[in-house]
Amino acid sequence: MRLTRIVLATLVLPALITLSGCSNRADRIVGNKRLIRGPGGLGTTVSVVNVVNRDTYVAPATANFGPALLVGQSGPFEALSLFSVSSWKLPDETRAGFVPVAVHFVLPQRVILGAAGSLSAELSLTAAPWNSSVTWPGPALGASLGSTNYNFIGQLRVNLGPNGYTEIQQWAADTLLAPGFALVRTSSGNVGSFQAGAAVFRIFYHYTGPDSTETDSVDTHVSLNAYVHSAPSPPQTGTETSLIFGGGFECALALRASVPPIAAGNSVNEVRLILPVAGTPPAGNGAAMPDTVFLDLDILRIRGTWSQGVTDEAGLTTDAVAVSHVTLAPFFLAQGDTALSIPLPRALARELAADTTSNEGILIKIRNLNARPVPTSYRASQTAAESPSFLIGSRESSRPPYLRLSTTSPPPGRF
Amino acid sequence: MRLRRFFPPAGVWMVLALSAVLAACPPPARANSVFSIGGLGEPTLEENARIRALGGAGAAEHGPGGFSLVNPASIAEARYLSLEATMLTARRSVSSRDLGSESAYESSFPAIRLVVRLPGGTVLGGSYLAGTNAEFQVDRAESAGTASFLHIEGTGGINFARVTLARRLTGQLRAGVDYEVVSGSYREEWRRSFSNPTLAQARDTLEVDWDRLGRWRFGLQYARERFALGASYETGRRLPTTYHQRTDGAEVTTTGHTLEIPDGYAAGFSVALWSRGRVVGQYRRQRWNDQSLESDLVDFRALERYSVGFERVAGNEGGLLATLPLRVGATFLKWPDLLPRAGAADVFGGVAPVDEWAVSIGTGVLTHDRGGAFDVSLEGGRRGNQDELGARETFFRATLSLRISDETWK
Repeated sequence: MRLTRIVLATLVLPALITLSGCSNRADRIVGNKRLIRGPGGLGTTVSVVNVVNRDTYVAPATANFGPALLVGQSGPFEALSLFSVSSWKLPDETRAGFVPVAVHFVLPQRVILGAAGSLSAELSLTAAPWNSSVTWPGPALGASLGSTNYNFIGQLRVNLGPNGYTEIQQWAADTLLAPGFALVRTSSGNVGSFQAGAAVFRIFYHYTGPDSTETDSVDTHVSLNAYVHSAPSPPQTGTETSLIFGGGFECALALRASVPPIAAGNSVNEVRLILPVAGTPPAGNGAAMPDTVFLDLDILRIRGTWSQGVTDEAGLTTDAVAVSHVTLAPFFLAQGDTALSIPLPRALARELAADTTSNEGILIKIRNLNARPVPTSYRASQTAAESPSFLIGSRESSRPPYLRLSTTSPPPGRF
Repeated sequence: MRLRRFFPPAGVWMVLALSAVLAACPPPARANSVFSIGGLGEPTLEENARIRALGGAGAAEHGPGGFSLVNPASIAEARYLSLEATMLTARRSVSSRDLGSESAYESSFPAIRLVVRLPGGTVLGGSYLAGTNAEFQVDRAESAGTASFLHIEGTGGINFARVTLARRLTGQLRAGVDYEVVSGSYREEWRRSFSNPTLAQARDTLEVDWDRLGRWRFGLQYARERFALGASYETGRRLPTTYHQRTDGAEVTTTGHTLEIPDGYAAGFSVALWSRGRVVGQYRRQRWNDQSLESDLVDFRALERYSVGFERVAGNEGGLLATLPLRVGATFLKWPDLLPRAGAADVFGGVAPVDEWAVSIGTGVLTHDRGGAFDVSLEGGRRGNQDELGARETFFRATLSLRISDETWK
């Protein structure tokens, strides 16, 4: 009998300890009044707004090595794509009945919604090798290899002509003979967007099969590709009342606002840049800017001093790695959205507040700006010349950008 | 059926298994008081259910199973390896002056103790016990600056990890000594949320901790056949204390504070009235004062606990009721905390004491070898007052204690 009780208790006691952990605490109501922590209150949240004191927009002059390749011209925007091949792949010429037929340069397009018309382009050798430091208007061109009038259906193809195979044999024997290739527009009014890393030189040839003449092909993939584009026109002066953000020129915003000191122990609830949208730059085809769906931003900290007159992104000394990457909530102009609200890392606010001399501002870039269209990004509909772009009111305007910092003083201690 | 048939040699494993189970249990909610939101928290009666049923009067408890945590000499007659754990479940009803009433259920784990008799007659003990309980939870709106909503979770309190040595010096005299390390901390998690979605939640952690330093407690018992006297004295200890405040990206640490655990004493008696009845009593005092901890939010006075109890010892014959012990007791406790009066922002607006009384009743069963036991006590009482503190609590507590032992350690 007693043993049973003891054993039972041995089992019941730990179980009760565990199970009775849940409680319906009374303190939520009455305890609120007993939370007495001095006359200073329980902490106060305040917001401070600082208008930016330096702003401009800058465009990259260097090549774009992103997932898209642009070729064409639309309004002041113009772009050409560059390629290079490190080694060539030739067909087996010992096969019975081997006869080269044609050589095509093949470039798949990205999915273009609403593209119309055509794009005339020419493939040429470059006169010299090119690399990541190439800038607009690109390297000098060498001999023309072929041309095409592309109607945005299927892949862009340039036939290198009857001498194509012979040339490739020469390039394979001495790669210095083909330092690079450029695909340059020869018509106006349209820009094509193509898939980076997908271009090939395709050699078609015949050979004698078991029963008849067969056709086969060999592809040589390009080893490097990029595109360069023209600079904004007219060039920015730094005193515009509107800042161009995004667009085909890949304009980024350089902004600096003072960050007020953050008292020891304060929580940072919000540090946010509010960019008033004044409109959209005119698209190449004159279309009004449609709604923007999602916007991926990279935020880089600027380390070196700069002035509003800077026009080239290379004129800014920034960190190599973005301090933050944010995806903004959808911006719907048609539904009355009036500003882009960009959260900044709270740790960045603490850094800038702790050392105001290090505050040279930030650079905000739209990620993969021209790598469109992805069905969920940027535009519900677009043409090849369009990229998400905004006109942002500058500090010289009546609706300047501003920084909003919200902090909460620390709760009082227990004793 | 004798217990020893079943325990040896499995008893050792059973003790270890219970220890493992208890250690693996998630920490339960603490039996907190609405007055735990400020000050040091609710003073915990660390005794087992048997002594709690006697009002907490344990200074003169002695014998093979008469373990008290107030007097280290009380374990001098332990015969076996014993493990004792106590669990407490409480129901509180809080009445406020202007906010109505509400109820709560909580549980706590006041103490666990391991005792083993060493060769030569010395008894070694180890225990972990709660000194104060500062758990609370608050949800309230805050209107200072941008409107926000606060959710605050408070945990912690003062705890003790203790080692005890005791032995019987003569036929009537027993002595014991404790060395205990003052552990624990006070921790609060503040979460402040906003209706404005652009404002991120503010999360702050407030923590008060101290250097883990130890202090001594000395105990004596003098026991004759029909009465026993017991007393203990505990030394004070000054603890360098550090305040931490942490939030995302920032931490502020403040040193230079001290928490002084005061010295104190307890004295008690046990007198047999007849063959099966005895009366026990105890007075306990810890000399908290306004120098114990500098604060604008709490002041201190001496902690005092008065305890009296009566026990009818279990009989060997008769029905079930006659073979069970019956214990009744009463206690009156003066909390050391002097808290700001209702409506005051700090102690400069006036302070009020927290006085607590409780009555208790309990029983239990004992194994034949008197090494194992299962005791319960039921307690009811009241603390605080609506006029000065704005709230009064009525509480009912059920305490279960289990002691298991292994007599192969004889």
